[in-house]
Amino acid sequence: MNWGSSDFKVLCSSEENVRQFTGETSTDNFITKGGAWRELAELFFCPECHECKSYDQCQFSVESKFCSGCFSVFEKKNVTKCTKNCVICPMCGCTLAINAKDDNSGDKKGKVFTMSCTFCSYAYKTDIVIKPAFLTKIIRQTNDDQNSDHLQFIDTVSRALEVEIEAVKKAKYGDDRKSEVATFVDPNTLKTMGLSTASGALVQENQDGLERLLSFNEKEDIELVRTQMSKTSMFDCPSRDAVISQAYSVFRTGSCSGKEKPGAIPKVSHILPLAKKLHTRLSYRCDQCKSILALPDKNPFSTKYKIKWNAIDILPRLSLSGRNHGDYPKEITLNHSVNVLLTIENPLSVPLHLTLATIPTLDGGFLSNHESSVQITLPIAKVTLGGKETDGKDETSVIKSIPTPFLTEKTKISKTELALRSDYQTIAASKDIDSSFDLYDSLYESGDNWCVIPLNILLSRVPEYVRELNIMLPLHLCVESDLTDVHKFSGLHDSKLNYKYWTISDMGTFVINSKK
Amino acid sequence: MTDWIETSTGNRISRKAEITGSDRILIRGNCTISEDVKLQGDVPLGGSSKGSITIGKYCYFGKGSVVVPPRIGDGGEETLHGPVEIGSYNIVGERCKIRSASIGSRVLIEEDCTLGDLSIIYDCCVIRRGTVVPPRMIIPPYSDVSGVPGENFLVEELPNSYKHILQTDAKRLHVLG
Repeated sequence: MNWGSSDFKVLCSSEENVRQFTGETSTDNFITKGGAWRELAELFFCPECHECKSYDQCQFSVESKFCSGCFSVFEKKNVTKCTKNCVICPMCGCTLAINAKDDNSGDKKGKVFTMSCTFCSYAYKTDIVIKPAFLTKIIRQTNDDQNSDHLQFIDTVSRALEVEIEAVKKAKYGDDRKSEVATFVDPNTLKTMGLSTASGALVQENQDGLERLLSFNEKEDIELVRTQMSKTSMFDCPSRDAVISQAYSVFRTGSCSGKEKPGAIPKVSHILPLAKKLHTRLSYRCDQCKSILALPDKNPFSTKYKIKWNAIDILPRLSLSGRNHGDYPKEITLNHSVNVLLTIENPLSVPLHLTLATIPTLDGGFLSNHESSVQITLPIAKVTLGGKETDGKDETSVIKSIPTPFLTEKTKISKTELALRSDYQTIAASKDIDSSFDLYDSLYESGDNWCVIPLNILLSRVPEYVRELNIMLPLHLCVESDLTDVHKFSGLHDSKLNYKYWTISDMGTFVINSKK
Repeated sequence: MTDWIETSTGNRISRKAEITGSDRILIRGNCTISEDVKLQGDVPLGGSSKGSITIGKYCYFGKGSVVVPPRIGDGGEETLHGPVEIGSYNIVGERCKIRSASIGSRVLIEEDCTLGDLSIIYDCCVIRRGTVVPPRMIIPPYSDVSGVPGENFLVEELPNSYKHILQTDAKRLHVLG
């Protein structure tokens, strides 16, 4: 089952696309290249522009940031991870189960936290924690301690490079401020900047000659860094990928508590847990007119929206089917037609006036074979759909809102409803659906807020070598409706909703019957 | 039609469904329990809770899905379980295994998913086909979850339109079967 997805996708074209295709004689080009095709569920409807807007055509802003683990809301702008106790496994990203135990064995008396993954066999144990602190803070401190040499070296190199770049710039642009440059490499300054013996060679280099700094020599500098790297032990550590692959091999063999051999890859528990990433609630505005299209409640666990202009609540929902909840035939013969039912449902509580159109002869971009041609016949161009009753609370109102092609015989209520829709039964009893279409020549069937229109697809040209043909069905809809009470309260200037759009359905692959 | 039991509250339960400990299972109404669905209510419960499985209205359980209250620990000789609460307008696909502590409302769980012990799924979520939600994982509202942890597990934002879509689909599924 394709839950939540519609048979038809909507064309979302930007202003630039429309401008580009204005005056273009071929409608096909505009439909196929004039924008992006989006699922109806992924679209907003802008009440000011009277257009569907995809996420790409919207500006968003973060309304709230929260951690799904501890329910905390974070206000600070630069925070992207939970700063409290929510940690995840660095190997698989799953939640870690945390155990705390008192440890009074050594000189220090405090607690030791053990974190074990609920999915894989990763585990991590903290040192003795004396002062109460958030777990993420404890882990950050451990991380800083473990990598202090590494961090200090990076800090040293980056500072020294900054000095060097600055000096080169001055030399290049002829700014003779050598005294200023000298301050950069002044030993006292370097000392206050935290440069210690770890970067002694580099400091020495800086001190040795200002002229040398001014003449930038890339090869020499690379060599210098290499020399420095070879002197520093932290580069002996294996890469993270190597550690992870080793960890997985440990999981496969069954245990991660083996004794660590000198010089071997560190145990799994040496990899620190990660802080959990925060989730966000976003509000969306139309990129063109800046109207608010979605404004969520600030409470992260609420599903309510203060403002929402979802396309699915406004645009008619279209679907293609065969009869009796079945799919339409997927075989087509040259100069023979396939009958498909187009169902249109009105999601609004007010009537909807529709004008339908399609491209009568499909070729080129709509078919998988460019030499083929398919003719589409829509027997009716204008339809008015009644308003939808408020969401049915009982089964009867639910079943009444379901178009006949979707009814099944699996439940009593559906079977009864199918029998009650006698007109439909008459048609269904007819063996040749073509003659039924001729009889009605308009609406196949209609209900409170829905209607079914027959659609005729005729294969008029196909090369002999083609065995299968994929058909894309484009439809143009021109819609007019009153505003619902909800829309009136939202302070719209217009009294009606008028909009038009292109929609397309991938009808799938039809097998071409060789019978002529 | 004789394969189904229809209750006064509108529940449709397949005769081939396996429901154990029915005195500890509460179904609010208009729910569909398809064939080979297993609701295991007869597990030893920890704490003071009396009901082991609570299901809201308009929930649909596809063929072969299993709901077992989550394990919360060992109580000596036997494993203790906690209650599982399932909200309204939920659709559970075929062959799903549910061990969650809580599932909100308007949640779609596609086929062949596994929800680990004590996981919590909030409202308006879609769990894609074959997803494994690890134990104790909390899925916030409007999430589109897919994949297997350690391989391709992903939690993305779900458009808010799905709230309406899922509710309508759950209602329709109940009347259409």
